[in-house]
Amino acid sequence: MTINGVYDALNPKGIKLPVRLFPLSPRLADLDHKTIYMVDLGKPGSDTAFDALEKYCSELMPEAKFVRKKKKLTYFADEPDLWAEVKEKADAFIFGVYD
Amino acid sequence: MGIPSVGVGVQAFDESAKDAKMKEGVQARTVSVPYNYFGETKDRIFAEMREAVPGIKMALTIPLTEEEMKTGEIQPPDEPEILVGGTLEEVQEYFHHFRMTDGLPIIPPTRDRVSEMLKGTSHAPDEILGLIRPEFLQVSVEKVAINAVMAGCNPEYLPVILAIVEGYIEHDAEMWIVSATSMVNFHLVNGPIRNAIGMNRGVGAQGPGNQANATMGRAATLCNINLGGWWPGKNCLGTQGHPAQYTFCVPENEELSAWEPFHVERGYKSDENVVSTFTEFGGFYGSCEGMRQAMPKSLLSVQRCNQAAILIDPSLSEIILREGYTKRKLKEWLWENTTETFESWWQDPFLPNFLDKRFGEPGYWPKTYQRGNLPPDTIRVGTLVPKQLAKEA
Repeated sequence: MTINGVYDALNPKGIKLPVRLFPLSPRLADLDHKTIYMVDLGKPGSDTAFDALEKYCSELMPEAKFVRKKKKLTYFADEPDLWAEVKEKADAFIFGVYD
Repeated sequence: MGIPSVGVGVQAFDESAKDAKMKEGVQARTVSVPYNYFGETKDRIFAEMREAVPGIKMALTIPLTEEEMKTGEIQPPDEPEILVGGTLEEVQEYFHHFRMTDGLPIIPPTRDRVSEMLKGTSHAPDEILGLIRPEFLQVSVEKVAINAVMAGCNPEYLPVILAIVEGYIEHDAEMWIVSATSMVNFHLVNGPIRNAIGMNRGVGAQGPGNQANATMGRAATLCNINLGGWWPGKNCLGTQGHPAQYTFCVPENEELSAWEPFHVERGYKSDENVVSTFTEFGGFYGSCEGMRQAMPKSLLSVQRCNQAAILIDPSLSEIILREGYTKRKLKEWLWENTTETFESWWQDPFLPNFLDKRFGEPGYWPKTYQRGNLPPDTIRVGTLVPKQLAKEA
């Protein structure tokens, strides 16, 4: 309502709902002899980025085994089979690139 | 999934990533690099990744913090019903400061105005419509009405805006305006409501001048901002944006069209009121090759342009310059490479009104249209370009 040129404005924002917290998975003590999946989401330019990641990760973490996987579908489509494989075979995974 | 992970991305998306983590309740670990990968040189990408890899290793091995191990629920803070009270200027300043406008002045959404707006619908104010991307905020009829008041809508427009918002909710996977490409939502209105609420379906329908057309599109944008949490630079990372993001709501001119209306084509009855939302984008890919492929084609479509304004993102200008294209060299390249056959060019019905009538006589066209070693039937589009380049030399 307006009184003497003063406006009380209602809140236009949508309502935030409670957010359930999901704790992160425990980290690895080290990456020696671990299998680390590198999941490429397939954004433009990601091939070169993952070429670089594979090279430098292998140099920095020579005892780890890196497995490169590229999504077959677009970056926004879920691929349950891919994630099932990652869950089954990987000790950790890197995903990207988000842009 | 129960195994540690780390995301790798671009710094420009850090705020968006942070928001996504809060929204999903997951304190995911991420490592970001300064530049976009697309269009970057291999050397630069490799250099950036070399810098990022130690952070990736740390993200997978450093023990979790207390924050990262938390469970339970985060309760949102209570939001006041009256957000701010003040003079017109104070309310404007507040709404602008807290990113609740499109940058233009708003009508303060007072209780009286919102109550009046709600007379435009039979839906109860507290009816929940659903959740809207990108922040999945809960939306009520009243919240839509508040944004409709802000946009300058009349109550009779509210059914259209509610339908637009319901479309956003129902098809959330298809609302691309949070993309890194500057996308636009175009809303097409069909049915008797177009005329009932005074929409302009004739001359200048897409331009300024009609309150219904202008404010309903604007209300849709304000709903994206306030009910979806959309904001440029935060979760909408289209590098340049687009003027049609302010408002783009148009009625189909069913009365003059020779074809069946769009909503009838889609199975609705002609006397049903329907709003359809299309999401689209334009522009060039962010690489030099993409520019070379796409720019001449776009220039050809711009009414045989003699002068064209090309807006280039600074990051793309850097990429193009690295390949040797100064601004001048780019203009010269475009002049040399924006070509078509004379026959195709002459078939444009627009041109003969403005050109020397001798054009079209076999083999006649000014020398400026053809230089260098083009095939005899091919011309360059853009007659004034050589003169401009000569002035700039």
